[in-house]
Amino acid sequence: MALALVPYCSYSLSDQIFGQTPNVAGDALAWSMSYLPAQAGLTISDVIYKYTAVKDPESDMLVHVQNKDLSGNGYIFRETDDWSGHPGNTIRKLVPVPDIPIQRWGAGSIAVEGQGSIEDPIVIYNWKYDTCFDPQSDPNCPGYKYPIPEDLINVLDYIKDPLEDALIQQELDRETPAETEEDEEERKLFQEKLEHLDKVERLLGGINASLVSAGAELTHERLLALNTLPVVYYKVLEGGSYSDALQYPKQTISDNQKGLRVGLAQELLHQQMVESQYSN
Amino acid sequence: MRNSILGSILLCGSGLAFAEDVPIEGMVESKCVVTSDTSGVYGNPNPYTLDTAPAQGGVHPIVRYDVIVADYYKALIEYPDAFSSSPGLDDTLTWDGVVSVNEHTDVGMADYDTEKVTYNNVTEVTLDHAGSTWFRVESDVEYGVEKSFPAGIYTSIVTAECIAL
Repeated sequence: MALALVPYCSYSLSDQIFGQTPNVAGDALAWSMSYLPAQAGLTISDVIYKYTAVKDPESDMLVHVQNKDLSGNGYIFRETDDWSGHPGNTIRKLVPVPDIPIQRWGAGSIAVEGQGSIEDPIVIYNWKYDTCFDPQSDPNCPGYKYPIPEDLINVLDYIKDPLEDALIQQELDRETPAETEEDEEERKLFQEKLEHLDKVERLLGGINASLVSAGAELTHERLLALNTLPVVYYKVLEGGSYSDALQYPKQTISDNQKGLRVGLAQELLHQQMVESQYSN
Repeated sequence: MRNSILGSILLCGSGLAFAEDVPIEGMVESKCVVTSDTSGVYGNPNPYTLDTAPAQGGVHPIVRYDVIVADYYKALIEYPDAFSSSPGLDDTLTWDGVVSVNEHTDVGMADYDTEKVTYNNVTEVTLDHAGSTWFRVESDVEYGVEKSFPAGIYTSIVTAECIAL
């Protein structure tokens, strides 16, 4: 009862972990997504990029910062800067994306269309993940289910449902044939035969019983004639009844005066011995 | 009966005396924010020159304009034309400077360099794109005719304002 009053306390380790990649475009204008940590439930929330466009202000130039979509054709992320008619300069952007799972992010690249080039590119991905995305990763995660021990699993493997046995199922599935008129007549004849046999048995039973009694008496007489049986086998014990003869007379028992005197004398002697220890 | 009428008149009169002023308040936040991104440093490549150019040992100051709504503001940036604090100087100073777009978040902002208006030490740019623009301020000063600066700390101020159109 006391235990029932103890409040149940638990805590969860579920937490959002945030981070960002290094500059994935530092070596080349195309890159893989291996810079991201191999973490279940990881999503990308922002793409940050920066580059300097080098071009003639009059020329046309498109710059695409993009990632292929692994779940199909096309791109999961594509941001285009149209520099056509503009002088070159350094652009810096932070593009939010709606927490797209890492499974969809393919290889990334910066592609240039038209006349011009880019310098000093920087591309960074902001990522995050939930430490309890897989509840089984930690017993403190909400929704964690304690695994069943392997030995228990093996025991369960040996338990079989009898109804799944093929032979039993075959018997259960077998249909009972309907009783025909011929079967009904056979059953009645069989019942009549049984009743007839019963009467014969009763008649023979009485005759056999009388024959057995006569044989037993003859054997008994022969055994007595041989005088080999102990006497106790056929000695008749005399019966009768024994009445209760115990009676206590009603009288008064007097006190034992002699014992009293002895007791008092011993007490007196004991007192004298005790006092003799303090007399000196 | 007379007393009751008189009482009603008095009550009406007292009701008229209760007037209430109901205020309406509103707060306007600027849709243009100016932030000092990088503090400048003067390099001293020779005894008579102070320069913020990295090649001269300096650092250009950078100021960022964040504009939420386009076409409602203009940037007004002044490069220094005097020291705010310095050792005592008894000769003329020759100031020079340039304000230019360093970085931006919208491609159209690259045109600010060609669209800007400059006079004296002032640069005006109409902020006709929403987003952030980093303006780089270059500043250099020469003392006298190749005259050595006295030793000490020299400080100058870049003024950056966002003015509603």
